[in-house]
Amino acid sequence: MLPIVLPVDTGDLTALGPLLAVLIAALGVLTVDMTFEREEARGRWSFIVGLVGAGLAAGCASLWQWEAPGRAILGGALYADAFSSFFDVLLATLLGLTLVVSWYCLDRVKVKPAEFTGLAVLSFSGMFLMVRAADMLTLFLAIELMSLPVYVLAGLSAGSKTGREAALKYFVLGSLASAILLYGMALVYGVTASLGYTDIAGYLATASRESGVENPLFLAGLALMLVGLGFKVAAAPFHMWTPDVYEGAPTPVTTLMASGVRAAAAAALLRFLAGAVLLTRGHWMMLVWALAALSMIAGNVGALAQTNVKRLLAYSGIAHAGYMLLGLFALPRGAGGFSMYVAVYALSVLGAFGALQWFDDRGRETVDIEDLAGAGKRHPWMASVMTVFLLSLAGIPPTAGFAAKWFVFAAAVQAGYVGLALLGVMTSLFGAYYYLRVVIAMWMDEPADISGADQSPTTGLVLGLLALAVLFIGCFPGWLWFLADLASSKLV
Amino acid sequence: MLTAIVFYILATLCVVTAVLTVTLANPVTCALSLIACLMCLAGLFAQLSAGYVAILQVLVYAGAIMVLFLFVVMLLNLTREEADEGTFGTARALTSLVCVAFLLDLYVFVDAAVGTRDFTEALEGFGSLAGVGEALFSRYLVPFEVISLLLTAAVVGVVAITRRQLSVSKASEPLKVAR
Repeated sequence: MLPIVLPVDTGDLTALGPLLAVLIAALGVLTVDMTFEREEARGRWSFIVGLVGAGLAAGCASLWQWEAPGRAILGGALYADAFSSFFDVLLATLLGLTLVVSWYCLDRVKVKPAEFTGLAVLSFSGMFLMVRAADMLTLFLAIELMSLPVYVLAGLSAGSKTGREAALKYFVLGSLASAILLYGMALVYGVTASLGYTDIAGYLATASRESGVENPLFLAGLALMLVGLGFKVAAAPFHMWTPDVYEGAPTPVTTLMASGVRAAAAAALLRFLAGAVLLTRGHWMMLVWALAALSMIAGNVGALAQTNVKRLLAYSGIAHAGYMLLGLFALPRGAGGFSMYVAVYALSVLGAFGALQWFDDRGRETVDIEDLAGAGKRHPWMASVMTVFLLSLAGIPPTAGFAAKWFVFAAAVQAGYVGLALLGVMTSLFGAYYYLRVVIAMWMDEPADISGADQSPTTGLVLGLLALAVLFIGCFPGWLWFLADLASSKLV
Repeated sequence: MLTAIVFYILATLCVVTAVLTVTLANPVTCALSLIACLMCLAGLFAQLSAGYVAILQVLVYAGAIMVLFLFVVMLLNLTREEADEGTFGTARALTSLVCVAFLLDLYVFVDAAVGTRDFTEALEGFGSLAGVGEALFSRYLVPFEVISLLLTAAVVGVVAITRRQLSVSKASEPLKVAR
């Protein structure tokens, strides 16, 4: 008999608090869905369980001692460090907000609330796993755990053809991306003979240049992994699916895809690049350079011609993936700008999609810019809130988007990539144009036929608070920068 | 010498059947050649004295998963014309070209990589029943548990989709069983 030692230490379980809270909430929602007879009770209770899970996760994460050194737990499969806690707090916030802003719209898009909540919380449990994955196997499984429920959610809207099309597109392309990612992992494993990030970094540090950093097989694997992860963060040229899927999926699901999924994917990307393959940064930074430049151009140019707000935000999301990647050039000093940009973008885009849902008419989704025409006259408060989110996405002071852009551009300039930073500034101008088109339509145009039937005050209040938070971060970005930098500097 | 001969036979068969899998027109023959391919792979594993992995390869891939494939092919119920559609066109020619380029590329990479790295011998018991079991329940315990979550997510997703379709078809028209 071989002695089998379980790598579980009870002390580690406390570090897993946020993940466990969300996991238990996910299973709780499934139980609630089976327990109650009536549809409304199911929906209400699953919503409450989901919110409690998000709250507990945020609470557990903020209890973490941020100054403590990070460590690998559970036999080296997961990390417990400030970086996971930073993203735990962000993801828990995103989960709570996604549930709240989507709550009143699920009826309109014919998605059962209990199903939405259950799948969303399951998907988030994958995200919590992703930001702390410490080996490639866990990373892959976490990505799948995050993606599977979202594939289903995209096509869950009853009787929606575009929804089904979006779900199928997302599923097929997502599976392809997963396969490419897995192939890359296999090659990297073939060279380094290890799955763990620390072991890979250790191998690269000790091996000779030819068999390690310069090894063509290893570099091919790394490139394939970047393709797979690039798909998840929707960076060009792996962005083709984004506009169609964002447009076709029901808006509550698009909200989830644009904020939570991308935040988790970005965090996993940073952790892999900084934790495992930092020594080869001379090679992958070229690829990241190309991804960033292409994303900024393709996203902003694509968004110019859109009349559909969901497509517009999808294209702008591609551009934001590009800006985000600029933050990676700060490595190896710690990519605080990257983490901060991810947080600010996720909150702003969640707010924008949330406000868009708030403007929904009874039984119909608001999707076109002209649907929003004159919203400023009918619902001045909500139009102001939407304006704040759009200005933040455009990167106009004094919103959070400006501060975040400042830090990523600074990172690129300090690393000597002045040309790329200039490209970023120039494409931001394009960005300002199409965001302002929506703002102008809301405030200047004559009111469209918005019946404004069942807008909920709770959602409005939550979105208003989020808009205030975005303004607050814009005026005082120092504390968020401090946290993001503290969290990210421990990765290396 | 004998090991080398067996290896080359298995490897050649493996590549040939893999190519057949993607080039044959009839989905059922494709699936069958994939089974052959997986069998050859199992043989290769057995040659590396990873007996348990070889058995798993046959049981899980050639057995369970391929039966699933055949079921899907059967349920799709393609007519002759649909199955024969998509013969060798420009798009496919281009795809094949890219694939061949990729293959050559990979060959160069592998060649360069193998030349520079000393591969260590596998540990005693690697790929055996005890070896796999120990790895699964110690070093890879967390991924192992995550797989159970992943399966839960998949099951919930499938139930959500089918439940919706059932309620939709119930509302609009009675469920048709036979055509």
